Parts: sequence; structure tokens; C-alpha cells
Amino acid sequence: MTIHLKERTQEFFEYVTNGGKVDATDWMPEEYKIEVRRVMGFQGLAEIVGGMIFSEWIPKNPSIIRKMMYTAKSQDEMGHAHILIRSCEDIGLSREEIVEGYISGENKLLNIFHYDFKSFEEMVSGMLLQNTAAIVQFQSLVNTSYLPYHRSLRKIMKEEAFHYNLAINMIEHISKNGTKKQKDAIQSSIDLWFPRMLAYFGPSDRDKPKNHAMKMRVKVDFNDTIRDNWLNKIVPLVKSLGYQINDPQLLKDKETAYWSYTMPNWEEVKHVLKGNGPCSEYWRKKVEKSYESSRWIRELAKKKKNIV
Amino acid sequence: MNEFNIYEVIRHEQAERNPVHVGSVRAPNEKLALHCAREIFARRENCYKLTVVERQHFHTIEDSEYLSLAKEKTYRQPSVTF
Repeated sequence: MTIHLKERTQEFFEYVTNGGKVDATDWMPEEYKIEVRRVMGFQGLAEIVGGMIFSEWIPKNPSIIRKMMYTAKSQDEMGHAHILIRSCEDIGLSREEIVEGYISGENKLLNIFHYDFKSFEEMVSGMLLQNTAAIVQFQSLVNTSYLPYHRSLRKIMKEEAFHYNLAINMIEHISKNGTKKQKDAIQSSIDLWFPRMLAYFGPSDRDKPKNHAMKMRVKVDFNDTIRDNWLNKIVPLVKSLGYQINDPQLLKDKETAYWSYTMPNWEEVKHVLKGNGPCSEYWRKKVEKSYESSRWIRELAKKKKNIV
Repeated sequence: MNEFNIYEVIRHEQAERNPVHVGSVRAPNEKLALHCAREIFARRENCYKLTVVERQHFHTIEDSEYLSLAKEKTYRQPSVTF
């Protein structure tokens, strides 16, 4: 029996290593399930908290139409969370575990969601940087061996394209009609967020052995590759919008096509990831409050199935 | 989690086309499943009709060997040369 399982597991990993795809109803070894759950659950939680950070800005948007566009964006983020977490549930990780795990401090969050935005201009710049980063991240992840994740990402990427265009539109609007103070605020926000975004992609791993997720082809690219893809995109984009990235070490190697940049302070990033960012506690509390205040609805739905 | 059912969601984008299975939702009953499906799968997309079916009522063949018994299907083409 054990030998059989071993062989089957080995066959499975050979299959995925050679580009084979796995659907939710296919047999898969437990370690693969764990890795898929970890990756999808992590992104699902990021969509919830990330969506919440931006949804705070709905009432602060300058016109009704902008408020509506912003509401649409926030709804999309929650939709993404729903789709990803639904797929997690099919392989044994419930939405309660994901949300409650975050509230209790067990489930970790991306570094960029431990901060907030101090001004409208900062929020707009942050949105551009975060969104472009998310898009290149998804363009890589969509090649995952796990088909439900692949399908979810295809829907998510379509909607992220709207958010990307919204961010561009907002920056262009400020650049065209805003005051000098506003334009300066955009530039200083790019300066503030750029190192955080470099850290978002994770530590350098190009020269290291492949991690679990990559061996199992749940993820397919090195952090460095995705970060380089982002730099290829964001550097000319920021320039075309009339701003610059102020990193004295930012340079693309002509031969390798690898980017060099000022290394993020990884000790500080680690510290933030542990929940010590300036707003870590604020967002955690906010999710907790929202989760608790809607508890009665869930309880009611459980008790009375035909409530509506 | 056990108190809720899983409903598969089928979206009919245009009357002239076939509906497509787009994903699933978790809900205590079909009415709430439909509301949830509308939020998740018909928010941006064009939607002509939205259907939910409890997962257990899906009947599936997953045997790809059986489903494509005759992999060589050129004989179904009208102008095959042989």
C-alpha cells in the first residue's frame, strides 16, 4: 500500500514537472495539496485585505463617477478572494480558516498590506505600483500546474486590467490638471513605495535551489524573474507618465538582462511581515470587526436554511 | 462549512450561445447561491441567464480514454482522402 502510494506520488510529480496539469477532481498527493492551498489561500487573503485598504478610499474619491469606479474595483477584489478561496475549500482549506487564521495572527500577509496611504496622491501611485506588480505576478502564476488556480487567474487578470487602466487614468488626470504640490506628492509616493514593491516579490532566489512550490510547478518562476519582468514594465511606464524612479543603483545589465537595484532591507521586511508594520494591527482589527459584526448573518443562515 | 452546500454556477452570456460553467459558490440554499453567483460571476460580464445546480447533481465522466475512443476522427470529415 505504502509502496503503491510512493510510486503514484513519484509518477504524479514526473507528470507535473513535464508540464502536466491537474484538476480539482484528479488524484494528487497530500504535499501537493498543501502547497496549492498555501499559495491560493495566501493570495485569497491578500485580495481581502488589499481590497479593504483601497475600499477606504471610496468616499474620498473626488466625484460620483470616480466613487462608482472605485466601488467596482473593490468589489472585484472581493470577487477574486471569493473565487480563490472557493478553490481552496475544494481541497480542504475553508474560508473560515483563512480569515480566522489572519485575525489570530497565524496567517501571514504580503509586506505591502502592512501600510496605509496618507494622501490621495499616495493612494493613486501605490495603486499603480501594486497593480502592475500583481499583474506580472499573475502572468507568471497563470502557468501553474493546478487548473482551478489557472482558471481563477484568467478571470482575475481580466479584471486587473481594468484596475491598471484606472490607475493610469487617475495619474494622468492629476498630472494634467493637478497643482505642483500634487505632482510632487505623486513623485514622493513613488519614491516611498518603490523599495516596498521590490520587497513584495520576495528575496532573491535565482541562485538558490528551487523551493517546494516551484518543484511542484504550483509556481513556475523565480522571484527574481518576476521582479525583473515588473521592472521591465514599470520603469518605462513611470517615465512615460512624466515621473521617475529615484534609485541610484537601478540598472539593467545589457548581457544578462537582469536588473540591479538598491537591495531592500530584508531584516526590516521580515519584521514588518511578522505583523509589526505601521498599520498591521489596524487592518487586522478592521477585518476582525467586519467578520464579527456579520457573524449573526452566518449563524442565522446556518440555523434557518430557508431564511429567504 | 458542512452546513452549507456547494453550487456550480452556469452563466448564459448571450441567448445565441450555449451557457458556460464558470465556477462555484458556497451557500445555505439555492436562493442565496443565486445572489452570490450574481455578485461573483455576473457583476462585470454580460449575463442573460444565470443558473445554479447543487454540485451533487452534476454527473460526470472523467475517463478521457472512453470519451475519445476514436482519437483518429478524420473519417468524420466530409472530404477526407484515403
